[in-house]
Amino acid sequence: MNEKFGCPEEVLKIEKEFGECLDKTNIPLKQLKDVLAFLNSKEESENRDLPEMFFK
Amino acid sequence: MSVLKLAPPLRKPVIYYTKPPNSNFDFIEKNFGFSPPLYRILSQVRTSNFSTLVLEDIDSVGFSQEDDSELRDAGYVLSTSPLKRLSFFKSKIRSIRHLKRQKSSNLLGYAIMKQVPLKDKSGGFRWIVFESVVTNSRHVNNYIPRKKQYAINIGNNILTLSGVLYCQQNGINNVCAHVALRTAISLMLESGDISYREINQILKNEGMPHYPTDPLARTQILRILDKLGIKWSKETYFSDEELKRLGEKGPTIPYQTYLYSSIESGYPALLAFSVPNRDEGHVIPCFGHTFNEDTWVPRAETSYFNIGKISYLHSDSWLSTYICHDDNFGSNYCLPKQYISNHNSILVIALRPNEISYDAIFANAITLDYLYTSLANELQVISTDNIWAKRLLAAIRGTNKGWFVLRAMQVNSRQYIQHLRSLRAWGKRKVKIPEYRINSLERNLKNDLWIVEISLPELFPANRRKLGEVVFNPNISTVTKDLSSFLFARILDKFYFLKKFDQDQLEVTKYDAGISSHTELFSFASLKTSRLSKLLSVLKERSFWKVSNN
Repeated sequence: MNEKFGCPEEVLKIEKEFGECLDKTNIPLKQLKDVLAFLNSKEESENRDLPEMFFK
Repeated sequence: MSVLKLAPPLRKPVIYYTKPPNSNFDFIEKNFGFSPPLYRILSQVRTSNFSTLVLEDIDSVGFSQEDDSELRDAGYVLSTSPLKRLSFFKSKIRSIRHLKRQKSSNLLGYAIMKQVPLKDKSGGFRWIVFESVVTNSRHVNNYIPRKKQYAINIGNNILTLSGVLYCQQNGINNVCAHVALRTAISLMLESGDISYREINQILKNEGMPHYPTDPLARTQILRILDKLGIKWSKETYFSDEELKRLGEKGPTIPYQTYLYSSIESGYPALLAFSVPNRDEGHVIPCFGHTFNEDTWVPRAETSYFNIGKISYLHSDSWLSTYICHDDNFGSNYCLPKQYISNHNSILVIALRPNEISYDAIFANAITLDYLYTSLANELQVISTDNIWAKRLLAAIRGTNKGWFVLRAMQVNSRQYIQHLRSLRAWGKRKVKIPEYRINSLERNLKNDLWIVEISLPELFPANRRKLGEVVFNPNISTVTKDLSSFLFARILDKFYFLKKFDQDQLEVTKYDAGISSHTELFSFASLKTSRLSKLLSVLKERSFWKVSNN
């Protein structure tokens, strides 16, 4: 993980080997609230403490 | 290494010609009595036009011998009958000498039958299918992403066979959960199999022993996987009635999504469900699915997978059944996707290798985030010149919102690189991704990957093609969005890399990817396996067999 660019080191290595890029643009860093809420609820649901189940 | 599969015959094999008027029913009833799993196994080889059945007596060795010692310890008297190995061939085998010249390509499957004591200790016995592997179904729509290759001794001729191991419980030292685990674990471990004694030993060491004839609990199943280093994600779905009683709300993700996400990447899942009027539930292993490009379901609104207000089509929309074993009834069944409903309580345990920190559902969700917040802007830029960018953009945030397909696959870097090298533009065999780009990726990508493929309805089922994929590192999972797991995206003719520009901004860097239209979907079946490694594995098995006979 590269601290300055916040991305994995191998990404920087690949980019270096790729050479000259076609183009660069800057965009705002956003996260979809719906996705964040979904991932949190998924984690909560998977970690629920539920009654034991038996299989035979 | 399975000693049992390589056990030499105790006496001369008996060869049966199986074409009509010979009857499978007669053969089973005469030799083994009533055995639903064996009826099913013989039905499968019947539909594959088998001509020959070879019956051999073999000693109880290897895993079967371990099983005997557990039964003896539990106070059961063992049968004196040898094990019976049945093997099934496509063509007619005329003699023992002819059997010794058979090639693996003629073998359709095998089953090892074992006579086990009745669990009530009445002194009676019954035949069970201790293990069996049957090769491919004749149906082209049946898809099993990963199979295991096994070496099997038939008449002192070692042949190889690929498929998914099936086993039937004896109800004493192993129950349905043991045999479902044995199948699932066989697909995860390099060795391709695990004994019941090893499973029970893990439980004993962990202070949660399995007592003869008892069921296995969910916590015991999960502990076995943990101790073997196999990662899992699980989700529990109580029946509507049970939810009301517990005052709980059910999970939002359907159980089918958990099952599919594991199976599609080539890893099995355990599907456990309650059974009416019984205290204990039943578990079956699922490891494949059917795919029908003509299915109506994706046209229905319910097939959308919703994350808040964002929707997309999950690639399992074209799936109508899962391929599974049921130890009570036999191997390679097709279980309809909606058959087990919320009238039952359901537990899904999706298996994955130990290096992976998050599942396909998580990978799809973060792909949506990157698509909406970063990559859609880039599609906007190129959509004036690229009709496929325009179509995808319309599916992400335009007139056809939600009308795109995501398919998450867990692959290793080598498989992904091989896949990239095989990609060609539609109808233009010479248009491909520049080799120097692929070489750079090959030098720097060393670990497992999540690739989430992006496609459109019709393009996905009919042509089995896609518009690109987003590639993630599967070992870093963060609910809060950062770039630590995002490696890059390849969409149409560009590779996209993301870096932090400052606190609030991302820098998107673009490189030429060579193909401006759609390309083939990832498929395990299309990857070349090394002929040398196949040969070596066969030779290893052969030399082992010789050693075991010395």
